[in-house]
Amino acid sequence: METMLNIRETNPVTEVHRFVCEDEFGAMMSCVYEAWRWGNRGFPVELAVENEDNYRLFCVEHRVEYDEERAKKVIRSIRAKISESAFQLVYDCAMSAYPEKVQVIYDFLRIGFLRGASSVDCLTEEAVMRIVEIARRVGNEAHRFIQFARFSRLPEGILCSLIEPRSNVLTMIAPHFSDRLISENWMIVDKKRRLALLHQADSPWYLRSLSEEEFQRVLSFDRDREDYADLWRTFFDHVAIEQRRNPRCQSNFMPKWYRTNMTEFRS
Amino acid sequence: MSERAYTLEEKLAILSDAAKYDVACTSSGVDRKGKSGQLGNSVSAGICHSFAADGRCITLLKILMTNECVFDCKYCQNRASNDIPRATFTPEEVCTLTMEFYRRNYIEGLFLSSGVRKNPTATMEQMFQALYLLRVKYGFRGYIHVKGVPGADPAVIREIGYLADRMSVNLELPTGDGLRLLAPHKTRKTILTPIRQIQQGIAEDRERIGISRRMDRAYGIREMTGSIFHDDNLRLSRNEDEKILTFGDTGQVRGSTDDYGINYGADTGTSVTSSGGLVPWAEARGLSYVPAGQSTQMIIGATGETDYQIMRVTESLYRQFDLKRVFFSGYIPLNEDAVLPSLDTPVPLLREHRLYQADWLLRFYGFRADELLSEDRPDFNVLVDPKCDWALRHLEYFPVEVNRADYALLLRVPGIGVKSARRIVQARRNGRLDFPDLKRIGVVLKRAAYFLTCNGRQMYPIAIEEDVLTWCLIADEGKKRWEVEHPGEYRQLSLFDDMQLTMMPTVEDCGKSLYGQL
Repeated sequence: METMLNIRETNPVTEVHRFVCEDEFGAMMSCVYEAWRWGNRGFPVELAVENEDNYRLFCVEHRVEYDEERAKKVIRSIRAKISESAFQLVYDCAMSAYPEKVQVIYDFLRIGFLRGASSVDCLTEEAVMRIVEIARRVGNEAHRFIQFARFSRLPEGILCSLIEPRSNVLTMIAPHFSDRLISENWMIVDKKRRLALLHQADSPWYLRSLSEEEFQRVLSFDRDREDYADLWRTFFDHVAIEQRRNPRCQSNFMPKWYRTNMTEFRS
Repeated sequence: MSERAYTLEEKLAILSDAAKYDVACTSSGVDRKGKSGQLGNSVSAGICHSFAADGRCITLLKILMTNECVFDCKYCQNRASNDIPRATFTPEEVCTLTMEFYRRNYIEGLFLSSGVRKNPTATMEQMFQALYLLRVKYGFRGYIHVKGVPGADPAVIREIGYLADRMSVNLELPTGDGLRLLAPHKTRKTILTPIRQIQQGIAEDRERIGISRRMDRAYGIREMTGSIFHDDNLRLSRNEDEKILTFGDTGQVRGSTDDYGINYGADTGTSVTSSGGLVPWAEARGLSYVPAGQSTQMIIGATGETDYQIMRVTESLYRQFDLKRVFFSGYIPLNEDAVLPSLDTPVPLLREHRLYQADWLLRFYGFRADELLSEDRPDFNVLVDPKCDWALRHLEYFPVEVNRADYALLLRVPGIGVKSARRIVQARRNGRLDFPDLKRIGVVLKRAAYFLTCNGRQMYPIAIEEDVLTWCLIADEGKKRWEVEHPGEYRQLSLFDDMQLTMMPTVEDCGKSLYGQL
C-alpha cells in the first residue's frame, strides 16, 4: 500500500527511480514487478542488485523486498506471455555476477511482453542480445563446473565437492549430477556463497546455506589425501605427450582460476 | 620379458603411458539417463573433464588392458621387439578405477585398448570380461569406448559391441603400402573386415529401434547436393572409394593364411559380411550395439602419403563405412628404425591441424576432398586454412549477399562457422541485416567482411581479387600458424611486425580454429 501512495505523490519525470533488491531470484522478480508499475506510469526507472559499490547520486531509491506473490506473478507471465525459453534466459541471467543484471532483465522483458514468443529471436535488438550474451556466459560457466567439479569422499562416506564459481551455478548443475550420481550421497559446496547442494541417494536434490560450523567442517577435511586422488594425479601426469606440450592450449580450455579446487592441480 | 608384480599405481602409470598415443578421447553421441541402483549417465554432446599438459582433453580413462604385444608395428612403443616394462590389468582393477574415478567426476567413462597378448581373440576376450563386469555387475552407465583388434574372432567383436558406446579399429596408416612397410602383422583386409562388421551391426541395430540405418550427421548436410553424405554421392563414388581404400594392399598377412573375404564395395544395405548374429544376453537387457558409432585413426607423416591421398581415404571411410569420426595422429618418433623417420623429426602439428580443419569441412560444411585438393595440388597450403584457400581459388562465388544466400553458401564464406550461418538464417527472418547487425548477433567479421555484402554493399571498399585478399588473410593467419607450430613457447610482441600481423587474433579465435570452427 505504501508504494501505491508514493506513486501518486511523486512528481514525475524529474528524477530517476532506482529499485534495489537482494541478489536472489525471487527478490529480483519482485523488483521487476515494482519497477514495472512505476515505469508504466512514465517514471524513468533503474534496477540494481544491492551492492556497496553500486550507489548512485540524484535518484530516488526504493528498496524492494521479496514478495512471493508478486514474484510468482512475474514468473508466470514470462512463461505464459513470452515463452519458456525466455524464462530460461531470465533465470540464467539472474544467476550471473554481472552488476547490471536486473536492469538487463527488465529491458529484455520490456521487449518480451511487447512482442511475445518471437522476441528471443530478435537478436538485432540490443536488449535481447545482451541478455542472450549474459545467459550464454553463465551457461558456459555452469558447464565448466559440470566438467571440472571434483568430488572426494568424506570420512562419513559422503562425496563432497568444493567449488568457487563466479556465477551462482549450483541450481544449474544440480539436475546433471542428480541424474549421474543418482544412488550416491553427495554435496557440492559453493565456497563463496556458503551454499550447499545436497543429494541423498535416490532422493531429489535441495539447496541450503551452511551454518558456520558445518562450513568449517567441510573446509577442514583434507580432500587431497585420498588414494584415488593420488591415482588420478598419476594418470593425469602420464597421459600427456611430452613432444606435444602446449600450456597455451591447456589454458584456453581450462583457465587457471578453475584449477584451484581440481584434484589434479593439488598435491 | 616377464611381468613383475606391480602395484595398482605402477600399472596405471605404465598402461596410461602406453595408451596415450591413441588420439580419440571423445564421449559424444549417446544420451543415456541415470538409473537408480546404477552409476552414471551419458550426454550426447560429450563432456571434457580436464586438459593435459599437451592441451588435449581428458574425457575418458584411457588405458590399455595390457601392453604386452606379439605384434611388431615399427612405430609403436609397445611393439614386441622393445624392451620395456610390461603390465596387465585384471578386469576387476579396470572396473574399480573406472567406477571410483567416475564417482569423483574425474572422467566421463572408459577408453579401453590393448596390446595383443597371445592373439587378437584372446586379447579381446579379456577386454570383454572387463566391460561385462563393469556394465553388468557394477551397473556402470557412463561412456565406454573400446578398440577392436584386427584379426579377432567376429563373435567377440559382435558381443563386445553391446557393452560399448563407441568402437574403433585403427586404420594405422593411410595406405596398404604403408602398412606393409610398418605394420607387418596387419593388412587393409584384416583392418577393414571388423570395421565392416561393426558398421553392419550398427545399421541393423538402428533399424531395429526404428531410426535410419546410417549415422546422424550435421544439420542440413545430407540435403546439400555436393556433400559427401548426400545419397547420390554415396552410390556414385562406390567403385572409386573401393580403389582408394584398397590401394597398395596385397591382402597378404605375414604368418597368417586366413582368407578374410571382404567385399569392400559392399553397400551398407546388402549384407556381405554379417554382423555376427544374435547375442541373447544383450538383447535380453535391451542393450544397443555401438550406439555412438565407430571411429578410426591413422598416423600422419610416418609414410609418404600426400594430404590429398589422406583426405580421399578419409572421405571414402565416411561414405562407405559410415564412420562417425576419422582421427589423425601426427607421427611421434618413439623408436629407431631404418624404415622410420629419424628420432629428431618434429611432430607435424601444423599438417595435422590442417587435416582436422579439412575433416571439419567434410563433416559440417559440405565440402568434398576433390574441392580442397587435387593431384596437381596434393598438399594443404601452410599459409592459410583450407577453407580460405578454397575461397581464394573460387572468387566467382563471392561476394555473397547475406540477406539472400542459402545456408550451404553461407557456410562456404571464410570466417563464418556453423553457428554464425545458423544465426544469420534465423535473424534475417525478422528483417534485413546490415554489418552492425551481424556484429550484434555475434558474427566475427574479421575475415568474413572481405567476402560478404549486406544489401549489396561491402564493408570495406576492397577489390575481390586474389592477391589483395590473400595478403589480408595471410596476415590474419600468421599468429595462429606460429602458435600451432610452437605450442610450448610464448612470444613477446615485437614492435616490428615480423609475423605480418595487422591485428592480433583473439584467444577465442585460436580456440575456434583448433576445433575447426572456421
